[in-house]
Amino acid sequence: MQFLKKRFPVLLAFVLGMVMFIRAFVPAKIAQRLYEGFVNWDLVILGFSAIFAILSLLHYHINKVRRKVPGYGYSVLTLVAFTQMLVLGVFMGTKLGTPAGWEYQWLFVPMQATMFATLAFFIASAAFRAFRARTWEALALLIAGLIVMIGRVPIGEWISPKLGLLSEWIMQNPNMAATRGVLLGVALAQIAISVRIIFGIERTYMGGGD
Amino acid sequence: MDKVEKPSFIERFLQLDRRIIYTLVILAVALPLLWPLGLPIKVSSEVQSIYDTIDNLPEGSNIMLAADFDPASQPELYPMLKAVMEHIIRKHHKMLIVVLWINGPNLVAQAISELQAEYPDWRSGEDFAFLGFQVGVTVVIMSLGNDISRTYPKDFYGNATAPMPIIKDFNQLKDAQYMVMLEAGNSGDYWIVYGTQMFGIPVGAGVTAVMAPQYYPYLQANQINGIIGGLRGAAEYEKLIGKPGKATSAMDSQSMVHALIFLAIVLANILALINVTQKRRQAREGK
Amino acid sequence: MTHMALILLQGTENLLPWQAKMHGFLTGSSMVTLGTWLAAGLTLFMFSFIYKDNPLFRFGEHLYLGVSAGYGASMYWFSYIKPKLIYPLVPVLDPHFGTPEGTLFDPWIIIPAILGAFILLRLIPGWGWLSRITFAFVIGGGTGIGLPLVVSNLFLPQFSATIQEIPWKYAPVPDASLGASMAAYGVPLLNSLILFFGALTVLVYFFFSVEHRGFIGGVSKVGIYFLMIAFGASFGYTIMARVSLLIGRIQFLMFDWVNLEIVQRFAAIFRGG
Repeated sequence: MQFLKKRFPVLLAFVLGMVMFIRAFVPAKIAQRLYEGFVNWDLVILGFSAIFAILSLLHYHINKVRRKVPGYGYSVLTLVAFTQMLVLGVFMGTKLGTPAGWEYQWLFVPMQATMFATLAFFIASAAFRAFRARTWEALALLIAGLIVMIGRVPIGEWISPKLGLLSEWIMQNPNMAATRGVLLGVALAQIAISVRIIFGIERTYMGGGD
Repeated sequence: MDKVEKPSFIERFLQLDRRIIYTLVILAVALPLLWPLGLPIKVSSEVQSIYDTIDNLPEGSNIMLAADFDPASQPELYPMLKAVMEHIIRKHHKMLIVVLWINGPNLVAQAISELQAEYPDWRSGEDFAFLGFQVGVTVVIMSLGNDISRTYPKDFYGNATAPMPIIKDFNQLKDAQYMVMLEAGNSGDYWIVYGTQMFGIPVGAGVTAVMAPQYYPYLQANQINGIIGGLRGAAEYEKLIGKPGKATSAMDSQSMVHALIFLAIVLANILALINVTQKRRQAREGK
Repeated sequence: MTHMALILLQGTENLLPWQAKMHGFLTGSSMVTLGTWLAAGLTLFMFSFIYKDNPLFRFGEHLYLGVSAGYGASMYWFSYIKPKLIYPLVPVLDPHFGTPEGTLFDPWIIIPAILGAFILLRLIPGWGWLSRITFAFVIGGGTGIGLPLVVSNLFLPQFSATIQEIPWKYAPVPDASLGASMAAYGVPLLNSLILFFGALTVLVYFFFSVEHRGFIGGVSKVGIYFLMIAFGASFGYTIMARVSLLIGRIQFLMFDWVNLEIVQRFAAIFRGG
């Protein structure tokens, strides 16, 4: 049992990882079929992770209702909203012109859009009340931010075409340099972690449990 | 008993009630919508590049369009989607549309139905196919590289994809002459690594303003050939196709809010500096 | 029950008469008006959070959570569970069974389906360890596929673009003055050196295995400044993004809810037009 719980997953990751890695360098039909087979099976497996996410959400809210924690009425609302949307969607479809589509258009879209739109207010308030250049590094951030913020909108170009050109230069040179450095770092980290996963050094992705 | 120091005018101003700031922001958005300023929009080279690529492709070219966004990014990417799709329709190219974000398909369906009302000869199955959503980002991209009709056996409207005329010449990602990806998250990175780079397909990226700075390294390395960044980029594309829409009408408001925040930051920092200088002088005089 | 099961399994792609009537009703003007008022109300509920957390916002937040999860679950049913799980195992349930468009029987799907079901066992105490097999399959195989792709499609193109951009040789511009030639060479040279040293110094900053002192500390400091400029640029663009979303909602409230005609007439009076 210990072999199945602990050793077998690591061995499976190694074998599959090595096979898929070597397959990339083998110009044969079997290599292509292996790739297609894995991709098709992966499509099926990944769908279950979404089902898991939904079940976790329901589990959390049902527990809140069962234990009657303060504010559990909101959890009842969530569960009722979920159930009616699921039933309407599954039995009558989700496209526009169906009840679920109607709820998507007039409930879901406005609420999701507004949740992110409120951030504009907080950014404006924080910019005035908290954004202070107390160090040289913060000053560099501030100046770059101000130039890009005003240079990328029509009013900046109307004030001076040089603002637009300067903001474009910042985006295409120092910004790109730093972003490339970060991207290269991410790529190197991905390569390192991939090797660690294949050779069984990195096992945190398997999750805890017994 | 120690005298409690009253905060100075500058200190009180720097702690301005946030409700006043919120009101100023709302006014800065709403007033230009009523009284447009008509500020000119300059087209950037990054947006022009995508426009020129689509414009110069031979008629009937295959274009893959990935609309990976949801209602949270709708104000930025929906105008972009409509403008790019309309350009492709006018040039009589073939288009396959996929969505890798679960909450996106109905938005794309809405755009398609609005465009079909304007271009009734633009037919599903022949000129375009809206394939809809599929689970699993990287796996879907890899699967599109093998067989599109197997990845999407049915399109969004429930029609089988295999017999469609468009699929006959466009059943793998490598059959595309160009790709445009409209991205609200990281799926654009996956399209490049797992999709377009593998088959050498030129790709243009339409992204939210938050994501735009991260795509410049790809642009410089020629892994993408253009960036339509945020609402500004959408307005530029609307100008290029000669059809100002929601993005264009929003640019004056965008300008006003940016100007407001710019002035707020500059003013706050100048006042804070004056305050600190005054306090240091008072401390020296007090000694 | 049988009728409901058939609708559930065979889908609703074909518009039955009652579905066509429902489509007409839901897209009609009365339902659009109701929807607009509902959307406006919920928009204002969500905006009330900028004042302070309140029951209206909590109501909207939890309603959104339920509706979005339910919508997502429905989408999974149509895009994944039916076509990828049920139809390949029981093709007779596919409404297109017996036609060229019908799903083919694929018994091998049972293996990834079982592996997928192991993920759900994480919710049952004592059985969560089975999910390790699934994660090993997905992550192990995915890593093996991804590793050569990340090297060839991400790392190498980015690395080579950093170096290739530097114009190593000076090439004078024909029929131009020396100053113009120098400018035509100098500007790209400066930009490419900024790109090269910027990327290098940022990479040095993120290399924490060596202490950032002395020469390395100095280089790392330069990297910090490049990062600050990038964060500043990001800040500018983030403001653009968030303000765009706000403009979208205000446009909806002003022109779709309050009514375009009234707003435009009001504005025209003050414009003097």
